[in-house]
Amino acid sequence: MLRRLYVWEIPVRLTHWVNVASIVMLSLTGYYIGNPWILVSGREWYGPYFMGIVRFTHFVVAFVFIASLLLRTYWAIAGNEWASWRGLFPFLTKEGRKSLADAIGYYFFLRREPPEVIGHNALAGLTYGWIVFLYLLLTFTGFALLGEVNTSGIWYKLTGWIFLFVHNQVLRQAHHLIMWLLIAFALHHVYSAFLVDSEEGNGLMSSIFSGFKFIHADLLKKMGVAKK
Amino acid sequence: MPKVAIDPITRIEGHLRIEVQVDGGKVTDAWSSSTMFRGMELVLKGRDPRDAWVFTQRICGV
Amino acid sequence: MIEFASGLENALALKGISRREFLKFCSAMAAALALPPRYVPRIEAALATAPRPPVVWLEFQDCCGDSESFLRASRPSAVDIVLDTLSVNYHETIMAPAGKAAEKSLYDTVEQSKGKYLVVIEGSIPTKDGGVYCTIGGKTALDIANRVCKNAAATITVGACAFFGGWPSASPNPTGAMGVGEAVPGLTQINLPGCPHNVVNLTATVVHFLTFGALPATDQLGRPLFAYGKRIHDNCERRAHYDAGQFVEDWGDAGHRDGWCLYKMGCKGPATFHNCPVVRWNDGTSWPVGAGHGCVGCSEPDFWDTMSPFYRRLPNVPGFGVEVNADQVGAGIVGGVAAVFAAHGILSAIRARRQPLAKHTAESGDAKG
Repeated sequence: MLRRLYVWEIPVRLTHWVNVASIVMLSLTGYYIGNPWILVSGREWYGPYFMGIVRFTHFVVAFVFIASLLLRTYWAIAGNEWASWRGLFPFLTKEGRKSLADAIGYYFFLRREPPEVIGHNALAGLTYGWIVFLYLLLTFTGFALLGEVNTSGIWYKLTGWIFLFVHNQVLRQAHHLIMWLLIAFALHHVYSAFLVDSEEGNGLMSSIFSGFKFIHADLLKKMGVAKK
Repeated sequence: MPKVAIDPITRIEGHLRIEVQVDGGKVTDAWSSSTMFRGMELVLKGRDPRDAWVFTQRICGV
Repeated sequence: MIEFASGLENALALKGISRREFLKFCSAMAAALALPPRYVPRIEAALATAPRPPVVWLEFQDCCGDSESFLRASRPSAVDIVLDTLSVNYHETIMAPAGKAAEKSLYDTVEQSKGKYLVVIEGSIPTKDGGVYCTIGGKTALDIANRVCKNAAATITVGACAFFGGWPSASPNPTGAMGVGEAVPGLTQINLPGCPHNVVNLTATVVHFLTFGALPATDQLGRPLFAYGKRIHDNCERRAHYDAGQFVEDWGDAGHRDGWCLYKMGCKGPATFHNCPVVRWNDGTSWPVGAGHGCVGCSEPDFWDTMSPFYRRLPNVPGFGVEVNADQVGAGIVGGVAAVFAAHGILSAIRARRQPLAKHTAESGDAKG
């Protein structure tokens, strides 16, 4: 018997899709800033300030992305149990470690059944922990590179100390590399969502639009979730 | 007669030491040594060949 | 005969430098230091009356390029004024005494003017194998620097080598070369990096020291803000082409002939803080980017490793060889991940067909029932 359960609250879904859109925009504009492959002669409708517009877009979208991260951080404390920050550190609890082992076994074809969960599985949570870490590095390197130009600005005051230890070219390199790691993650994320959705049949794919997942009544009872 | 060492030799670029053996008012033997080493060849190894000129230009700035 | 206000001006007049040229120099220095015009008379008075501080110029693992940059300044008065204002007691390349006599001039200054003289250092200090890679008069560079710098009023490092070690310290750093700040910590030190440094900045730093009795304000790496406070990219004459998205794609192409931005040719202007676009070189004739070649970032720490390859935007990723930068490594990772998950997808599809999940069949039963 399947039950319809409201799992992903509005802030979770909203920040998910804002993150998707902003990472796409930031990657496109960022790649152009790093390697401007579009030739502009100055007579096109988008000239004569094309790079300027691309950079401006990159900075504006970066702030939107950060706003989304801040909202999600708040919701990791204020939201329901499936939105909690605890999900990022599954190795802290005994059930988490078991779920982690089950998920790894499933992905390496050592175990037929995918782990039974309501939110996301422990391995996914651990991966998102790494992604949050990459987000932190990404925003830090971004602000450091933005702030270095204006040493009296707030971003330099917050991030300028890094230049005592690391050169801006190294930060730039890290900023580029993190983009590729996030793209690699996105590939994995979409693939795994397809796989888990088709194997578990819990409506995972539509849940990130609607918020509802379809969970077995047995599992709900086992997890102690009140019937809605 | 003594061995005379002049170090540093000035009015040249780089670091030079000259030692001379003087016997009866005549120089009978002399040694010169450059007293500075940087290892340009070792630094250049494995780099983009197009960068080589930027490095080798810095062997001597005179 | 015109009456001159001071001995300095008299001395300059003998060299054919007029009062007008002297005042022009004072104005140029005020401008270089970003001071308002009312400071010009103060600079003038200081240069004319300040006591001549003794200066010793030490060369370690150097190429003499910074001495050349200093001596070849042909703005009629700069070097004359500085050499007449300062008393340069030791500079191996231009001094008359050699050997023991040269060493005597150095250590006499250290003893007699303890705490009052300036040290200018050119070249890095080797620290490997007991510092044998640079010795002068049988003493290692490190010993000399320790003795001379610790008794000085201030230490001015000129050039990239004395700042962070320069190319001798580039990977794999065969001689353990270091900048002065790292080899002899705790000095009153100001850094004028560049490869070579720009004589305008050295002159302005000295003028600041003579006028205000202190070194100019610096950034956190010890570089004076008047010279290293602004990014090359932000003062570049090609910046408008960057903002427009107009880039040189190849040496000698139409964009290169039209003076477009050198960003894609590996210009490190966006990563480098220096006043080259403003003060330029050879009496303001031109500068590297003006001449059509990208900036190599010579005033930044470790630039031989972090700014190279000089014809690429990003440095190499350590461990991946000469040709690979972060974007290529990243694209490789994305490709690898895609391949792994494509394989995983195929295997999963095979497994789902061969070994269907029990609950799927059960659920279809539910749906029917």
